[in-house]
Amino acid sequence: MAEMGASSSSLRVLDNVNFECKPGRIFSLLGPNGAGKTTTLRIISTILAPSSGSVKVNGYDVVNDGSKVRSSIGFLTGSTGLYERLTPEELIAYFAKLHGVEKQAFEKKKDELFTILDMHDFARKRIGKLSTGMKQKVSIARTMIHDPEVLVFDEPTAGLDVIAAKNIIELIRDCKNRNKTVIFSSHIMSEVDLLCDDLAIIHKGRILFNDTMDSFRDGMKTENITEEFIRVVAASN
Amino acid sequence: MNNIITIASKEFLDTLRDRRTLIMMIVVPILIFPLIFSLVNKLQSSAIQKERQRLLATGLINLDSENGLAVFLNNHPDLETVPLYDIAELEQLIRSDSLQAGVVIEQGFSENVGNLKSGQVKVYFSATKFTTRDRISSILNGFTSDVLRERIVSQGLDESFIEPVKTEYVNVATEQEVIGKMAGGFLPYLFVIFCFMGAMYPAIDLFTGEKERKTLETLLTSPVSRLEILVGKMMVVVSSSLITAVLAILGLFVSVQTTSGMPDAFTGIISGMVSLSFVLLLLLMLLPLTVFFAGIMIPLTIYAKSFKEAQSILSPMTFLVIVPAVIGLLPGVELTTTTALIPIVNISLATKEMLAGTIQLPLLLITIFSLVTYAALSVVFCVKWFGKETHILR
Repeated sequence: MAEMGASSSSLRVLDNVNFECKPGRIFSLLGPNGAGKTTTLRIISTILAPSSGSVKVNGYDVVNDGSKVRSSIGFLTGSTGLYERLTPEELIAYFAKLHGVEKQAFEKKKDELFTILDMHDFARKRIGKLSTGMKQKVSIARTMIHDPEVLVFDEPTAGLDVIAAKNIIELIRDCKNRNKTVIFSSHIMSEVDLLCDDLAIIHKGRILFNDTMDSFRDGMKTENITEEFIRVVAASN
Repeated sequence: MNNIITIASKEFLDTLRDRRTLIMMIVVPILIFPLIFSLVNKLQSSAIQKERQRLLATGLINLDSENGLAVFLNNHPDLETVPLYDIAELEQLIRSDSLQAGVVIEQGFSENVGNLKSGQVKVYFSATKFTTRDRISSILNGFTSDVLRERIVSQGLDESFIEPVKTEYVNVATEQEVIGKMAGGFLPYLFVIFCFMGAMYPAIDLFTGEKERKTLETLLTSPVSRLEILVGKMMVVVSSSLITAVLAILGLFVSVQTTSGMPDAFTGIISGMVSLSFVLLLLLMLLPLTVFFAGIMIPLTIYAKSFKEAQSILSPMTFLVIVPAVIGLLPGVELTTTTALIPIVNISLATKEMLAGTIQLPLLLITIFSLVTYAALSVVFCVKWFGKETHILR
């Protein structure tokens, strides 16, 4: 659940942003570049502090219970880098330790993820020597190793090729099936159309639409959702 | 604490796999002294040998038909005299490097010397050759001393006639003190530089590198606090810095032990340095110094967006470190209650005193206390800086 405002010294980045994401549903934050999507997700994952309002993740307040919030979330962006001098095994073990995952649970989860993602063959190679697709799998395993309740994806397919993007789409679907709360930001309409249950359109830091995807489709005044999105954004200018 | 250790262990592993950091942290400090020593030794011995072998080719124009000086110069073992008759030719030969010097014995030289007056001699040389003037001067001084002695005897005087005050200088300083004060100024300077160098690359790699590789956000979304992240990373920066300094000391020790022709006292001092008490005292000062360095560098590396930017910010800082270290090298600058409070200068001076064996406990304590205070202040600043999102996500 989030109700937030954020401002830097000279700019109000988010203005009275208010929405709720539910378990077992995929919430999409849609907006053009510079709309405030990343800022919103950074506040949710406690990287940034809101200047006003309150944000609760899995029942924890992002300002007062930052550590518990971070324990509950898995955070992945399209531009996320990896420690290239480590191997996937070392990297996953590092983040599992930071998340306080018990050794036994870690071994089980690691095995499960490495099998699902077909990572066993390159688990002990330096990440720097892996292909983009392999790296994306390592990122996914890193995000999921502590079995988070809430998944935050910030433009997760940005800069990825079709195959690597497909891995992410499958991951998001899988999270929904396992009753996780998923929030993802995007400006790619086809992705949103494919995945999302609930939708918020954000522009210039303000929420322009916040309802289910079905309700968005029902209320469309144009022929396709891309044009409808552009219409909604243009109407607010 | 567990999180700090997890972060520090991962960063250590990561650092040890970075070739650039590894070269600066291990290879350079280990090899620098053995290389410098063997090079200097080789150059020095070959230069001395060359100097010994090389006779000073000197043109001699004797305008005074017969005198003892010409005979003296012709027979001198360091000179190879070439008789000449024309000054222009002499100058030309020196300019063209065929001759190194020229001596012109003026007319009436022997008559003047015989009459207890001054005989005139002109020495031609090129100031571009640094040692020529001194070598000729010392040869001529030999002749002058001989003449002076003869004059004194001929006048029925004692040699003490021209030496009304006979001074004997008694050095009460031990050889260790003398070399300690000289080499002792140079050595801490090197430790300081190596500490700085050893901290610089890991600091850039661990902070700016994390930003540049876009891994920082992921780390910030893990449940560890920013303080734990900072402390874990700082531990690696400080350890790398100390490892660099310790390896440099070891390299120095090994090269002194294995290089022949070192003065015994110098070898003694370096061997003495590796005594447990000295190393512990040195580490006691180097530890807060490295924390201080890390505390200054880390905010800058957090601020920088790229490895290049961080390097261009930190490299000029080397001068800020070298200047106080050089002040400690200057003669006359001693460890006092004031200088013990100036970072870098204090460690430089204190180490100098420790090597010379003349350190005073209160001044040592002030030095350590001030270093710890600066380290603590820099850490507090660092923590505040790392807490600001605008710096981290710049």
